[in-house]
Amino acid sequence: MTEITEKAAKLPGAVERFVLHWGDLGGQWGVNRSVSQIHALLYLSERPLTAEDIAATLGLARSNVSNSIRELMAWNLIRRVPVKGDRREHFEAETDPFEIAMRIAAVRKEREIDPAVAALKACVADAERDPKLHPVASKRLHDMLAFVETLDRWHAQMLTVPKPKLAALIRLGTRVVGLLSLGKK
Amino acid sequence: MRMSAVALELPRRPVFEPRLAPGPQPGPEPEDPRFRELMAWNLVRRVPVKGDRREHFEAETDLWEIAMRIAAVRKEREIDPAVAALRACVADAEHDRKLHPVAGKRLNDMLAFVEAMDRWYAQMLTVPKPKLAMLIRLGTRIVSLLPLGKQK
Repeated sequence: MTEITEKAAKLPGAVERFVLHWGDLGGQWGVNRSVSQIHALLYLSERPLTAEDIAATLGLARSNVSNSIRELMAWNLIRRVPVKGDRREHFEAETDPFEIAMRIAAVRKEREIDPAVAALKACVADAERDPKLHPVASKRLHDMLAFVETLDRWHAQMLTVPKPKLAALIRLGTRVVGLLSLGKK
Repeated sequence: MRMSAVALELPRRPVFEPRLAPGPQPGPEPEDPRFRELMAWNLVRRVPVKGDRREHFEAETDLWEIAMRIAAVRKEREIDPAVAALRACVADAEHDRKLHPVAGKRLNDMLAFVEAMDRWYAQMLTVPKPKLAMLIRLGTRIVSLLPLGKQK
């Protein structure tokens, strides 16, 4: 236990602050606090860390760290790396912020948007056989489904755009609207 | 909150009880926290109904408006605090001698990225709806319209 506090105390102030903030933000974004704290620690770490390192530095239980590591691997935000002369498993984080954002977007789509689209489809199917449903309600369900499907298609498409092109689009900002007239046939 | 959002989205007239009934309907108790939440998201508004003095409510039904209002609130609650927190960390990092240069660089990179995305997001929320709809329809084809000079 003493070792944990000693090591935790060694974390530079800026790193500790980032880890705590990222953990908090994780909560806002619907990600478990330990998961986002571990992500933050690995993101800033200059070398790969073992589960023991992580547990000791953050003062977390080993079981919690193992589960969180599994979660981060599922999000594709961290990976196992071999370290010469050390047989323990080491982990490092993806460090390209663009990659991080795209991977988080891909998982959020899978967990949040896909189920929403499926639920709306079920509602629209129900609506078609429901004679008590007001036509206005039915129309709104249809409109909502069409809209969500359009955005979903767009999101999925944009995740396939190569990073430099996406970065160019982001830099362009609202000026992209000016390109629309070029696109018209 | 999710239930009441759905309840008011479908009705044709304002609702009193949060259910799938058409239209403005007399609402649930306006003190209901779930309801205050919907008003805060700007997704539901009060509407007067002739001959009925109770408060009635109806939902925004323009889907672009709904999406953009949700996006605006999410930005405020999720992205703005992230940017503020990152700025504070980067400021700390500048006078932290124990900080490894790699960590310092990564903090800077993350802040630069989040700021760029945040600027983009804020800008896109100002694009008129029909233009946004066109952009969405265009999908990846927009990439072929990017200025040639930018291509790698």
